[in-house]
Amino acid sequence: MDRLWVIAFKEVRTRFTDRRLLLIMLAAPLAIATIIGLAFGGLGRSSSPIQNIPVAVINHDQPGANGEAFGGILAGLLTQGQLPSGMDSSASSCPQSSASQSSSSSTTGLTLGELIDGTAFDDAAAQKLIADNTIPAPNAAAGSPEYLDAAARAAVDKGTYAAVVIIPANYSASLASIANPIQAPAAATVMVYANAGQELAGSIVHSVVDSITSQLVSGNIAIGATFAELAASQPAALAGASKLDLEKVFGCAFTPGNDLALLANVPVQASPTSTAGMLLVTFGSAQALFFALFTGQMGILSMYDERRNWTLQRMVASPTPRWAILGGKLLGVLASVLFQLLCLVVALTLVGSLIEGHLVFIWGTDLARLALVLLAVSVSVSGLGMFLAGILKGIEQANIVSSVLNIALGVLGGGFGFQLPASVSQISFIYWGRQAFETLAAGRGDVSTNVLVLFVEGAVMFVIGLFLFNRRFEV
Amino acid sequence: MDIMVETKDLAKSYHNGQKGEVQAVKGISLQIQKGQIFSLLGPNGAGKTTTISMISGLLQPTRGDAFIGGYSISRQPLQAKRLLGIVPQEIALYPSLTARQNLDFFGRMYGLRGKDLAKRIDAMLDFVDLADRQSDRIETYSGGMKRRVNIAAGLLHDPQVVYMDEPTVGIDPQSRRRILDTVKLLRDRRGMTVLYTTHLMEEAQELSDVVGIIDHGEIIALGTPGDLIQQVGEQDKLILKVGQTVVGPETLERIRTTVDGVTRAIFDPPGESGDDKANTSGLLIISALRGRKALPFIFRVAEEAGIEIESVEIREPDLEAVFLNLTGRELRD
Repeated sequence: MDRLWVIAFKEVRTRFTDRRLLLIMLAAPLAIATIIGLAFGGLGRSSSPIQNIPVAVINHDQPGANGEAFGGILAGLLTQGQLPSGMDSSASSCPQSSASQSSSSSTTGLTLGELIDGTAFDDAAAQKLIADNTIPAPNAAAGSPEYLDAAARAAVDKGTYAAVVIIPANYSASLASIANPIQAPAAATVMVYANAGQELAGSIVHSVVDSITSQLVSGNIAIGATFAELAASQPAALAGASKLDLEKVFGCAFTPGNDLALLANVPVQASPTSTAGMLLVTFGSAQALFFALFTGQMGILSMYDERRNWTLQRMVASPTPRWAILGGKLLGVLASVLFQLLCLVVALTLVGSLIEGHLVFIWGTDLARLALVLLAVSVSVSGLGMFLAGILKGIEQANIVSSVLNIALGVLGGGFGFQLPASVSQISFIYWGRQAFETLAAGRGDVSTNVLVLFVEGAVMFVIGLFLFNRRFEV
Repeated sequence: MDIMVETKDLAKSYHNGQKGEVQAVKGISLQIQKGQIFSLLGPNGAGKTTTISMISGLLQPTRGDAFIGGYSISRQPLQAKRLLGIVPQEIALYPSLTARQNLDFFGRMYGLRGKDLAKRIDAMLDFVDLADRQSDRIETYSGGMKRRVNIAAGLLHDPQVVYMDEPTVGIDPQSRRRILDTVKLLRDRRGMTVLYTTHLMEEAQELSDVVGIIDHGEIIALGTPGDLIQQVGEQDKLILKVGQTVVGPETLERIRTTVDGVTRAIFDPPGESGDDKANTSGLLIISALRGRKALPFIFRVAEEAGIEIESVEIREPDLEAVFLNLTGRELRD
């Protein structure tokens, strides 16, 4: 068993001591991603091309029983870049607001108002687009919520908007239920419908909506906790509280710490803090995956090189079982790919931090899921390498076929700066890997589908490839 | 004496699409004693590598078996392989690793660990006189130095049998001499059994205790170099280059019957045996007692037949002559 580890370690060592391989494995993807990050992400906010993302906002929200209108807050932030009038700067009377404001002044990156160019999408806007033949008339009753939603989706598909945010009717009721310690929380779903060709913009909008909603949720939890405590310790004080006092408590619950009011002035939380960071994640991950393909394939196909150089025969002639040689080789390739991706993740984080001028976790802070995605991608890459080694005859054929295949997978997966429709991109594992990295970077944790696809895809190809290779390959 | 390597009816066949089944090795049986240097000689494609590959456990025999130290390579491969070290013709090392890292890896493949491994590596680096370059990458070494590390990797686990496949190919005379001395040292001081393949007759003659000559997958001669040369007798080999002229059977017959001392006369036409055949000129090959005395008479017959002689080479009896005598072909063809 220990010989398996010896071979795996040798495999990693030979990969990472070969200067030519290091160029392909690390220098090339890092350089390309950095150039793209610098060219399109810019070194400061003024040079960033990704701003003013056109977003349609449909607010179906019905104010709650106590008059809460959280849908209006969300819509106001998206369309005006600030809280609706009447709510703004209640922060001044809240204890932590000044600290938050002062800290925001040193933060770099785009503000919400600069990032999102939101438009309240109403019936008039829909009729105007229908009238100038931008979109067809929706197949629903005019004036109904379904009619409006369908028109907005059509406008997104046509590219008039990068995305539409649809706030459901029970949005306020759902959030208010969180503050009520007696009532069970009700679910509400804010829909973000994005143009498939503008995945990056869609991802940004998604993370903005996530961020605002999560702050509304945490604010309501804080209120709920305050009321529960008051009801338990000072029921009289609660009964005598004026409406004004309650509004002040309500405003402050959202203001300190979470800085909902300051969202207009600071970069969106829970997403990469800059366009450069997001670009590094998008293109960096795609480039890393693209070049990892070569590492995985070259690693397994190096079996042919080892046979030609007789190092394989030397191993076979030693008292080492064949399964340990093959297993060690495969384990080494998997570890090499994983290590390569890890190096690139760290290096791109440093590049993003250098661009930003401070430490930025461009891949998000969910390290456990990040590690899981890296492992899944490594399995997928190694599986593909094994599959190619199993079906192709000899190193010459493998070199040609694998290069063409890798470029095709790179194109499909968005590795070269443009996106194909998701239905086509999904063929490429680069799509699944890249999307998983983007999801983690945006602070949305659910990458289970991506991880599952990558693991299954890798495992299936690995098993088929191993079977064919083992049957065909002779020392 | 103990038998260290033995093959019993060792055979290997391949399926070739057009030719059907090709018998690369046709049932070889031989015994190599402990502490002997055994050289296997034969032209390209004779079956040398296939035979050695089966003995080393790299190829599964179609029939028969090979034994190393009494262990069957088919049924007890791990025990048999522990006794065997291999030094391939190729530089079977990782170029981006240092000499020490390479030796460390291959030592671990043979189960060496810790201080034992470190001591063995130090000893081997001293043995091949490369201790001062142990931390340099193999890719920075000269051809001779690479060969020496290649040998060290095969000897690292102190095997009882070492297989060396043309270890002197492509190196300078000084390094070659050093390697030949090393091989003798392995036998004389360590009692190692050496399985040696080469196409250089002088090497085989100098080193070997026993020589096996293989052709078309069969051992056609086996014995000490002295015994084999005696089979040819005192005959000299006369090799006359005749350019593109074709020497007919009647001329060959006339040389055989009219020139005193000639026992054999054959004609080897230019390039007939394939692309890798060395002679671009036709060769008139004659075996004769007292070859130098026969030469003027051979010239006369050739002149009468209209054959223009370009050059003449006289070879004393050697292993090459043995092969020529046995097969009618030169070993290097």
